[in-house]
Amino acid sequence: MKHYVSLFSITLLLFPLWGLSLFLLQRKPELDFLNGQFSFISHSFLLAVGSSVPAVFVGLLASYTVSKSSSRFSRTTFLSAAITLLFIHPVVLLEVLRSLPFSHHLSSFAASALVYGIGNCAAAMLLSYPLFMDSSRHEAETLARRISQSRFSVLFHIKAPAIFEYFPILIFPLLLHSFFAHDVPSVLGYRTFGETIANLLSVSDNPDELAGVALFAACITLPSSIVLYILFRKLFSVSDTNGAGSFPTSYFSHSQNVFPAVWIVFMVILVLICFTTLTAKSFSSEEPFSELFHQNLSPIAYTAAMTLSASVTAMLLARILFASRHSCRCIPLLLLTLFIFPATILSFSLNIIFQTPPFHLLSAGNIPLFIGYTTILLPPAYFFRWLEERYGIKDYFLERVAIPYWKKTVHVVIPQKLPVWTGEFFLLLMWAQYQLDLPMFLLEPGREVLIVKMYNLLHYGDTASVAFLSLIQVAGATLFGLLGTASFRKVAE
Amino acid sequence: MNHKNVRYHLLFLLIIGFLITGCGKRDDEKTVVIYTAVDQIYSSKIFQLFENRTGIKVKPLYDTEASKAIGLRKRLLIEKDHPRADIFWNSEPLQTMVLKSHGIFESLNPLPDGISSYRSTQFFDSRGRWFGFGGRKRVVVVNTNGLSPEKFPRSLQDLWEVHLFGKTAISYPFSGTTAAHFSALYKKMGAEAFHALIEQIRKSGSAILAGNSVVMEAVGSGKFLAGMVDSDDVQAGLRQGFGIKSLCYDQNGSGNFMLFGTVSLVKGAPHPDRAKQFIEFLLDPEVEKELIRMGAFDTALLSTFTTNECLSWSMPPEKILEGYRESRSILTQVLQ
Repeated sequence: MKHYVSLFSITLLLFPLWGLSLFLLQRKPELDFLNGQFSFISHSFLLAVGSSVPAVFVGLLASYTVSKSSSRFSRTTFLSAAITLLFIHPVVLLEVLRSLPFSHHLSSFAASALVYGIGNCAAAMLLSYPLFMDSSRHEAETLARRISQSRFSVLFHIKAPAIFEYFPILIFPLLLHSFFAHDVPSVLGYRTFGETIANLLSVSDNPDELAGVALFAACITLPSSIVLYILFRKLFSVSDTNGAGSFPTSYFSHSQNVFPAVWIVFMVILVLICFTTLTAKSFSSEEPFSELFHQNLSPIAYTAAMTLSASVTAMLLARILFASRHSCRCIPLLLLTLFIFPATILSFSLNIIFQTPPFHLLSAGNIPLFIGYTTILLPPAYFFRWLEERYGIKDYFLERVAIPYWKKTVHVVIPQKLPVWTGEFFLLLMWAQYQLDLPMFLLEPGREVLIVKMYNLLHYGDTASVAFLSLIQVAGATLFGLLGTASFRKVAE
Repeated sequence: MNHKNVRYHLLFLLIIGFLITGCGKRDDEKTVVIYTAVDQIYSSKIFQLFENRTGIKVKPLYDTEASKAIGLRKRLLIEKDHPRADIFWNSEPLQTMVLKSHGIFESLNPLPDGISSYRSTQFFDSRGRWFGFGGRKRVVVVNTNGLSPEKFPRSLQDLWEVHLFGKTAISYPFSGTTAAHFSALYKKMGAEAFHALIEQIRKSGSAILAGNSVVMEAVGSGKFLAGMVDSDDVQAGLRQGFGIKSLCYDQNGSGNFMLFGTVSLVKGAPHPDRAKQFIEFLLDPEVEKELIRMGAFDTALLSTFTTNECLSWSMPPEKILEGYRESRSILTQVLQ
């Protein structure tokens, strides 16, 4: 049974690549469009580095510091703030940034890097927090402090290795995500590679030139994914030998110091700035909130249904794929290739598949968008599944315990993995909600998704409605964050 | 992961699958599928009017400003063999002409009654593959806080004069309405004069931004002092509270360039009769006036109604397409 599901998942992953191959095989790719375009690759590279490297470092440091905090309130506030910041769409965050007095002095690059940096920092915090909740690490720190009495010794021998252990793991997905980002740069007029690809697709009505664009993207992504695969394989092997189980230690004794409080205050201020700005903008609407909500109920409900279901499906499929990784070693490479492929071209390829017999029979209804979301979410879901493996009791230990499966799940697996699952689920949900290219190519006529609606309202100049919609998203995320972390605390205790 | 574990997952996946596929409404109701690049805020109101008048439900697919109509255009091209759209209602003529050249549109025969109201025969295709609807002018937008009225550009060339060096912006000239504008300028001016104009733009250090709304925001925020956009972008900027003004130019010559939206029947449309009903509905001068009052367009093609008194000129879309194909090499050579 497992093999059939794995086969299905691999077919799903191959869908866009198959569409792309079909398109390329029918054409003679032209690469003339490349003249003068290379500067945009360097722009993208700068943006990716500028928005990821400092952000991941800060995120890890904050997460490590707060994970040691003895205050439950601090930890809950920290995680909720991270989830909230993660759920603000970059374009909306840009609107918030623009309303601040210093924003006019920022260059397009600095503003883009700051916006993506906040998101990347929140993602790093959320992903690394469960990893740092490791009793042995905290015991080692306490011991080191007692023996050496030196803060520097603890910093260099305990803290720094912990942060640098997770830095390469977290930096690559966020780096690549920022590299292909084009929403904020296009609003600010900062030309990037992702935006160039979208422009080329829009300009050309020559299929051979379009094939050239797709081939060029493939030439960039395939070698990158092989390099990443080699790197990740090394990291994976470290995980297999070194990833001894560790238990959640929310009730562990920790040192009391001011650093967690500094991080939490900083994050709460950031969240408050976002909330107050969005609320102030929402109140500038001429229509009452009830009317605004009623007008947008359909896209809100549809987006929630599609992204929630696709996130859950991707998480489940990723678990099955992960279990089959030893029998099919091409899976991680395939996933990495898909992960770093520009979403515009992937969406374009998926649309081609859904017009090819017999798959054109599936093109009606919500199936193309659902498959599109699931395909795009599978690589990050697989990556998170691997992160999950590093944390908690291993599956093979559990299999040896002779108690019913549901009991093991309720009493051991869920309490242990709930924080990772929560973080994973929110990240996937956010990833899906930010996809602008997929709905453009795969959305069913007569349906609307929130991201397209928000872009259209922004173009019309209706910032009040956009702020209201963002406020709903962000308030929902904060509520989920608070409830999620609080319920985990109860289970852990 | 044991087999029991996999079975639980499969059960979950099945439930989700049923939920998702069950979410779709049944398609047996009276519907018409319309792909539109006209701003959702305006087109949705017209769809509501059409639904109230005919009882036919509209299933729209909107484009985004960010995508510059690539989504709809590429979808129509990819779906050519299995079309899902009945109508393509575009906000500018160039993409329509590109799609027409790929054989995406059906000839409407006989022509709708509404064509008798057109002010000029250049606003519709005599073979019925497209019908013009709602004109809007390209305008110069200026930041009123940063530029005094005596320094306002009076002609298109003024925008790239010495006193505005490095202080102006235009949208990416290979797509959207800017592409249509430059293509029309090429046909009007000829290759040599057009080359000189593009060279002047390059020398002036004019910024090339991602879209008209980006240009408007950059001018509104004071990053640049002037730019070239569509009249509806200026309206959006004024709604956001920017200190900007829309200017007529070349008023002693041919005036502002005006482009117009189009509506076409897709070849092989699943609901051709309902689609024809929609085209008839749209070509009602009152519907066009309603859209102009809302701010989607500023000049009627089916009557003399206008909210923008600038003197203007236009060009048959087929010629704009010719200009687009011929001018690309100059634009690529000089600007990239």
